[in-house]
Amino acid sequence: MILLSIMPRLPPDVWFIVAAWGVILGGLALYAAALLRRIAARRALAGTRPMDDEPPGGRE
Amino acid sequence: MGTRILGVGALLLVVAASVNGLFLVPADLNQGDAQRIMYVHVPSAWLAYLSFGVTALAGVGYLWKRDLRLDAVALSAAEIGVMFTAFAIWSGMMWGQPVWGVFWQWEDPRLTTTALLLALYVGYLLFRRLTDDPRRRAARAAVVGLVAAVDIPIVHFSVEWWRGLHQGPTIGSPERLLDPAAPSQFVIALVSMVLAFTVAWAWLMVRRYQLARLDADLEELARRGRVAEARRAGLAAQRVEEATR
Amino acid sequence: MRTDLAIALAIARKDAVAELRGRQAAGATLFFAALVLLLFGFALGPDSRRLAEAAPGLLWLAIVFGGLLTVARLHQIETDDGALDELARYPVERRAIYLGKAIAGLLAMLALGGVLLPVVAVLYGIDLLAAAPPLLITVVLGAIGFAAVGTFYAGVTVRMRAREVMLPLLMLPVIAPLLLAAVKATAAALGGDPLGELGAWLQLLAAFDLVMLLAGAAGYGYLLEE
Repeated sequence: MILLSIMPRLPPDVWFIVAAWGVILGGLALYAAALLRRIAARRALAGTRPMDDEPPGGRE
Repeated sequence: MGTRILGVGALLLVVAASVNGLFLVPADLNQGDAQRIMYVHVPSAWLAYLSFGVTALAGVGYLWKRDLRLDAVALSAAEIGVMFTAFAIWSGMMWGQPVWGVFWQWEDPRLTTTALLLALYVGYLLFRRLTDDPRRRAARAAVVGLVAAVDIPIVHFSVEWWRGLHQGPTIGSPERLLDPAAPSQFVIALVSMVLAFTVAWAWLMVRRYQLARLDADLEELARRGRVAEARRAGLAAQRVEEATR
Repeated sequence: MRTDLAIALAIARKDAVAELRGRQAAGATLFFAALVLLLFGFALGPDSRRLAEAAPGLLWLAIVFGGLLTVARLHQIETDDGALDELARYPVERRAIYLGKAIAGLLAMLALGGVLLPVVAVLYGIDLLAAAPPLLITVVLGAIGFAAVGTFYAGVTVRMRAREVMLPLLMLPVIAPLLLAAVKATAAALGGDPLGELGAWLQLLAAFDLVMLLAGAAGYGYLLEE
C-alpha cells in the first residue's frame, strides 16, 4: 500500500533504472558469492582426499 | 592474498562508481534518468566482448600448447562472458522501453547481434558440460569457440545491412555518451563504471579459474575410480556429483 | 592439393552411393521438409497474399530444418559402425575428409532445395520461373554455406550426449547471417529486385561460405583426434 502511494510521485523511469541496476549489481554479487562458496566446498573436499586417510593398498 | 586485495578493491570501486552514477551525476537533458542505465549497460557490453575474445585466444593457446590451464581460462571467460552478455541485453531492454518505447528494437544491430552472441556462448557452455573427456572437450571447445568468434563479425555485418542497406545509425545510441561534446561529468561517470566493472571482472576471472582448476583436480580424482571413497570421506554426496558431473 | 580434392570426391561419392542405396532416410527428410512448408501454410492462415509475402522466410526455415536432419544423418552413418574412426586413421589430410563430407552435404542440400522450391511455388502461389537464375544462385550459395557449417558442427556433436539438441543449438546461431542473407536475396529475386540489393546479399552469402569453409576445414582436424 505504502509502495503504491509513493509510486506515482517517483519519476516514471525510476523502475527501469532499478530493474537494470538491481539485476546487474545483484547478479554480480550472487555470482561472486556462489564462486566463493563453491571454491570453499571444493577445497574442503580436496583437503580430505581419500588417498590421505585411506590405508595403503586401498579398497580397490 | 593478492586476489583478496583485488576483490576488496573491486567492491569498493563498484560501490563508489555506482553511487556516483546513480545519485551524484545529473540526469541527461534528453533522456532523463534513463541515461543512468548506460552506466551499467556499456561496461557489461564491453566485458562481454572482452570475455569472448579471451575465450577465443585461450582456445588458440590450448590448441597450440595443449595446456589444460588455458582451457580453464577459456571456460572461465565464457561463463563470465555469458553473464555480462545477459546483463547487457537486460539493461539494454530496460533502457529501450523508456527511450525508444519498446523493449526489443529489431532494427538495432547491436541488440540482435548480442542476442546471437548469447546463444553462441550458451551453446559453448552446454557443449562443454555434455563432453566428458577433458582433453577432447578442451580441443573441441577451442574449435567451437573459434568458429563462434569468426561468426560474430559476419553476424554484426549482416544485421547492420538487414535493417536497410542505406540507413543512418539508430537514434539515441549509447555512443552519444562518448561524444566529444558530452559533458565531462557523464564521461567520467561512464569511464569510472567501466574501470570498476573491469576490475570486478578480473577478480571474477581469477576466482572462476581457481574453481575450474579445483574441478579439474576432482574430475581427475573421480576418473581414478575414487568417487566412492570421496563420498565416504564425510562430504555431501551431492557436492561430489556436482564436481564429477 | 589435387590429391585432397580427389580424396574428398571419393568420400562424397561414397556418401552419395550410401544415400541412394538407403533411399528411405533421405526421402523421409525431404518429405519432412515439405511437410513443414505445408504446416507453415496452416500457421499463417488461408490468406494467399500473406503466404506469398512470407514465402522466402518460410522456404529457408524449411531448408534449415531439413538441413539439420541431413547433416546429422550424414555423420551418423559414419559413427554407427565406427567408420569415422577408420576414416580418421587413413593417412590423408583431415581437411580432405571435411571437404568430402561437406560435398556430400552440399549434394543433399541441393536435393532438398530442388524439392522444396517447386513445393513453395505450388503451395504459396509463386512464379519461380521468372526469377529462376538468381534464385538458383541463392539456393546454391545457401546450400554451400549450410553444408560447410553443418558438416563442422555435425563433427563437433558426433558421439556426444544429447547431440540431437546440441547440433541445432550450436549451429542455428552461427547460420543466422546465412538465413538472413538468403531470405533477403530470395525476396529480392522474387520481387524483381527493385532496390538493386540482390548482388550485395549474394556477396554476403559468398563471403559467409568462404569464411565458414576455411574455418571448418581448419577446425575439423581437431575434432577427429582422440
